[in-house]
Order: sequence, then C-alpha cells, then structure tokens
Amino acid sequence: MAYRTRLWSPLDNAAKIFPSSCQKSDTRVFRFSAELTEDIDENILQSAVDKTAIEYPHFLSVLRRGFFWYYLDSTNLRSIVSKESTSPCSQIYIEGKQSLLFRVTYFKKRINFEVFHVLSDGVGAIQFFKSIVASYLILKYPDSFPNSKLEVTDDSSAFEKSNDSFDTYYQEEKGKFHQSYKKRSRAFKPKNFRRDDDDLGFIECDVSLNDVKALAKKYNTTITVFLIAVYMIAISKEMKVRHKKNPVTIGVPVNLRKFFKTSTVKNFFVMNYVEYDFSKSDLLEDVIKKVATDFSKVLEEESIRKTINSLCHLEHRFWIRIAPLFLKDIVLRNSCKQSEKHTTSLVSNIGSISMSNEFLPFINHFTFFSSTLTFELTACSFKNVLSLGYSNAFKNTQIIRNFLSLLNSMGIKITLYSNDFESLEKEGTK
Amino acid sequence: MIYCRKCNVHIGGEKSSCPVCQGPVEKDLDFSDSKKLGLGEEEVFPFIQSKKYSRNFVIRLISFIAVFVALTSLTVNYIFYKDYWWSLIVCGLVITFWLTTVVAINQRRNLFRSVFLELILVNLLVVLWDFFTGWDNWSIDYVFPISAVVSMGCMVLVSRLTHTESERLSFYILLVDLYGLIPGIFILLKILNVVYPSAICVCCSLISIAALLLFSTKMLIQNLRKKFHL
Repeated sequence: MAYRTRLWSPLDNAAKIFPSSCQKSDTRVFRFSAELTEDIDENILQSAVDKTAIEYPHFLSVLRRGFFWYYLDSTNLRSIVSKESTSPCSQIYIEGKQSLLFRVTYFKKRINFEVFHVLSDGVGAIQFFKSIVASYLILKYPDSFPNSKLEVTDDSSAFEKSNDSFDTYYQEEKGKFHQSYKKRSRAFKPKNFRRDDDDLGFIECDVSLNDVKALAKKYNTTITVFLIAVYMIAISKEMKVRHKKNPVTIGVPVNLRKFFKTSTVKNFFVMNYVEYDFSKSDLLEDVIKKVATDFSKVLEEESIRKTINSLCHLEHRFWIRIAPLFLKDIVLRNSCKQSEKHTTSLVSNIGSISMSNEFLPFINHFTFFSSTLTFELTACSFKNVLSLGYSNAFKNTQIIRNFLSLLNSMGIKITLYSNDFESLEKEGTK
Repeated sequence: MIYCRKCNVHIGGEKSSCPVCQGPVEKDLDFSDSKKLGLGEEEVFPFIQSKKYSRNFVIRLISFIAVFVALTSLTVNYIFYKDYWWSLIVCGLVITFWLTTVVAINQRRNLFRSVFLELILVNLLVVLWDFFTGWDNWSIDYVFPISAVVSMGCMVLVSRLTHTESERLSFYILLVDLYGLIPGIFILLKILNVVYPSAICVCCSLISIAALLLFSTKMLIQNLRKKFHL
C-alpha cells in the first residue's frame, strides 16, 4: 500500500509550556461536565463521541517528542467512553504512552469531558463538548429532534478549527521583551498541607446567576470582576499581618477570540494578572475598583497585540528554537515555578454556555473544573445556574469557606457538591 | 438534601460532615432554592478508592533489593575475607542489573525507544566491565556489533507483535542502523582483534538503510521533518 501522509502540527504558543510542566501533581487537565435530566446511556454516548470526533480531527491526536519541540500527531485511536473511575482531572498525558489527550466519562446523569490543556483551552474545548452533548441528545431522544441536524456552533471547516491563531496574528516587533512575571512582585502564598496521593479536592458551588448578576450590577461591574474581588478578599482573610507586604495576585486567562477573528479550537488565550495590596484597605468596593481598572488596561487591543507579540517573539528566537527539547523542558519547568511564586491563585471564567433552545429542557447545567498546584476558582453559567468550581490541592478548605460566607452574607443561596469522601475512606481503613 | 448550619449551604450526596467546614450536617427537607435551579440531591462524584501502592513501587522495590544485596556483600566481605574484594564484582553486577531494569521500566511505554536506549546502555556497561577486568577487547569485538544486529531484529519483532504503524518503526530503525555503523569506525581505527562480527553488523546496517531509503523514502522524510521541526 502506498504511504499516506499523516497530518501533524506543532504546538501553539500557549500549549508549548504544558507538556514540560505537566506532572502527577499538576496534570494540566481541565474538565467540563454536563448534567442531563436522565441517567447516561454508555452506548449512545460512545456513538455520539465517535460521530462528533470526525468533525474535530484536532482532538484525535497524540503528543510526541521531537528533537527540538513537541508536536501533535494525528492517530487512528478512538476515544473509549467509560464510567468515571479516576479522580477528576487526573493525569491524561503520560510521556511515551500513545493515548488520546482527552477522555469522556459518565457518572449517573453527568457526562464528563476532560482535556489536556495542550489540545485546547476552555473556550475551544467547550465547543467540542457541546457538540458531543448535542449529538448525544439527538441520538437519545430522536423523537424530540425530528429534523435531526447536529448543532453547529459555527460553520467553520475542520482545518479552520485547527488553525494556530497565535501564529496568524504574530507580528515581528523590535524591542526588548521581558518575562511578564518579572514585572510583578512576589505574591502571597498560603502555606498548607497537601492532600494525599496528589488527588485534588473539588467543590462545586452552584448559585443563581441572576442573583450574582444583580449583585455585580449593584457594584456597577461585571460578574468576572465581582467574583475575582470577592475571591481576593476571601484569600486575604488567611493572611497574617506580616504577609500583607505581599500582594494577592490572581491570574485570569483572557479569551483572545473576542479580539481577533478566528474559529480555532486550539489554545488562544493570554494570562492577565490582577494584583491587590491588602495592607491599604480590604473593602469590597476598593478591590472591585482596582481589579476593574487593571482589567480595562489590559483589555485594550493594543496591549493584547503587544502581549501576543512578546510571547511569540520568545519562541521565534533562533537560540531558543535550536535548543534541544530536554533543555527546553528544564528551562520551561523552571520558569513555570518562578511564575508560580508571583501568583496566588487563578480565576477562570468561561462565561455563559449557550445551546440551541430545543436542547435546553434536557440539560440541567454545566460545570467547569481545572487541575491546580494550589487552589483555583473556575466558573461557567448555563440557564440560570452559575456553577463555581473550586479545586484544591490542600487539606485546608478555609479559603472557599471564606468565599462562600462572603457570598452568603450578600444573600446568595448556595448548593454544593464535593468529591471529598474522607469519612467513607476512614471507614474503609478500619 | 443535607444542610450545614455553620456554612449555611445545602450539600448534595450522602456526606457525614460538611466538605467546607468539616462540621456536622443535618437533613433538611426544604431545599426549594436548589430545586428551583434544577439542582438534585444526588452525589455527582463517584467514590474513588485511594491507591494501594505508592507511585513507582516496582522501581523502589528493585532499588531496595539492589542496595540490600550490595551492602550485605560488602559487609560479609569486610568481616570474613579481607584480602580479596570479591564484593566489588557483586556491586558492579548489582549496578548493571539495576540500571538496565530501571531504564526498561521507565521506558516501558515506548518499546522502540526502550530497545534503543538499552542498546546504548548495555554497550556502555559492557565496555566498562571489559575495561575494569583487563581489557581483552571482547566488548567491542563481539558484544557491540552483535547487540546492534539483535536490536534491529528486536525492533522488527516488537512492531510485528504490537502492530505498530511502520511510520514510528522507521525512525527508530534508522537510529539503530546509524548506531550499527559505529563498528565500521572501529574497523577503520584498527582497534579490533576480531573483525568479522563488526563487518557483518556494518553490512546489515547498510542493507537496512538502503531498504529504508528505497521503500519508505516519503515516510522517512515526513518523519524526520516532524521529529526535527524547528
């Protein structure tokens, strides 16, 4: 048989850091779940995944090591749906193992979709996940969708979906570029005991979107800014007096699809950092004001263009390009660790997840979680549910407690779910 | 639904304590706020038993056995026969065994790479053994060329057994072929006592390279392009 060329692609700019810095304790995996109204049928889910994957060939790839860079190689592997049996966001990429970089599992009414960050960012992955959910619903309830057309979130081709947008919008620019973390001062990092076995604790807090919207409106700001400000105050309550010399720094990924036209499902985001110095004041109004001004500064198109250029400039440097991969691994791992020292936590808000109206009655809500080395807050909303996901690598849950009690004090009713089965485990060891 | 009075939150699933404050929880039948949002009282995460063995347990076990054997033999040697240090040979064997096994376990997911790395490792160790036991040249005379040819065979065998695509195989075969040319350098440097194994090894490598170039040119070029993209 004649040889057929297989598609492969280099990693996009943001993805380049993930394989080097991925470890058992920080798996760089994030997860979406959709809760439907009935228990999940495995066979139907499997055919839904198979059907959808054809449209998103980018997801059907394995990560391989080259001599200078990692690359994504297309593969004939098929994603096998299974009942959830590993802890959420557990390792997907294991060096040398030939496996896909995402997994679809189910548990009771929930479909879970976990992705290694190399493949895609939250906004890209949710597109794929929405298509899976839509095609599952169409297969499960054929009568409710007589004109069974797959929900198409956009009409882009498979090639457009796997386009590297960093590369598209990179302009060579002269001048000096600095690593962004060097500009920031060392951030406050709470010291805590790590959880056992590197398994993360997940707490899902579901609240009413309208209530939070109303609160944000009261403070004249957006939901993201409001959540970040409340979260910062929750963290600041764990600061000892001598810690207050360091600011609380929150990293917020900014989706670039809003600023540049693209239909890529690959990574296309930049990290934006907001700082607040709690030695001055810890009033919510003040924090919101500072966060909002920081945000508006970064979100100017010119500043974003500069960030992209400086990020891509690094990877285009000749000396960096010809360094062998194992050296890059060491350098990237180290710079990740350094950057980590300048960041207290991350807040990632995917925003509102939209589906066509005919699917709405079949879906209760969506949730979003991310793996972390410390603790992290994620958010997404669907219908009237704002789902906040708190992932925690520590035994201490004081920060989320502060966060929830702040929300509570503003009159927000909270329902929570958690993967903490400590009492059950204790019984098991008896 | 379960309710935590301290945190003022409703909790899904059957928990005996609040996951946020670890305090006591009570049953609350009125959870209309959650119901209004369509939130159920079921557990949404499965219970996952924690792992029985720690990570890399086998490697730790092998390392412990290696340390145990080496230290015991050194001690026995020191106490009973002080004039002849046979235990150093035991230690050498232990290190050889330990290194080759650990590399094999570490690389178990990529068998081609495993074969290639083992080839290099075994040859290095064998040369060291030869050097410290009086340099009789057996390492580069026999082991070097024979192991290279055996590795080529191993790779083909592995690919047949695991049904790996020939694309990945071609790259690693090329690596072993290039490695198999090294005995040719030994011949040219005239440092060998017995040349036949090396000559056969170089011949095999060249034949294999020729076959790769003639039958899978496109595949090879594509593969090199991927592996070495800048």
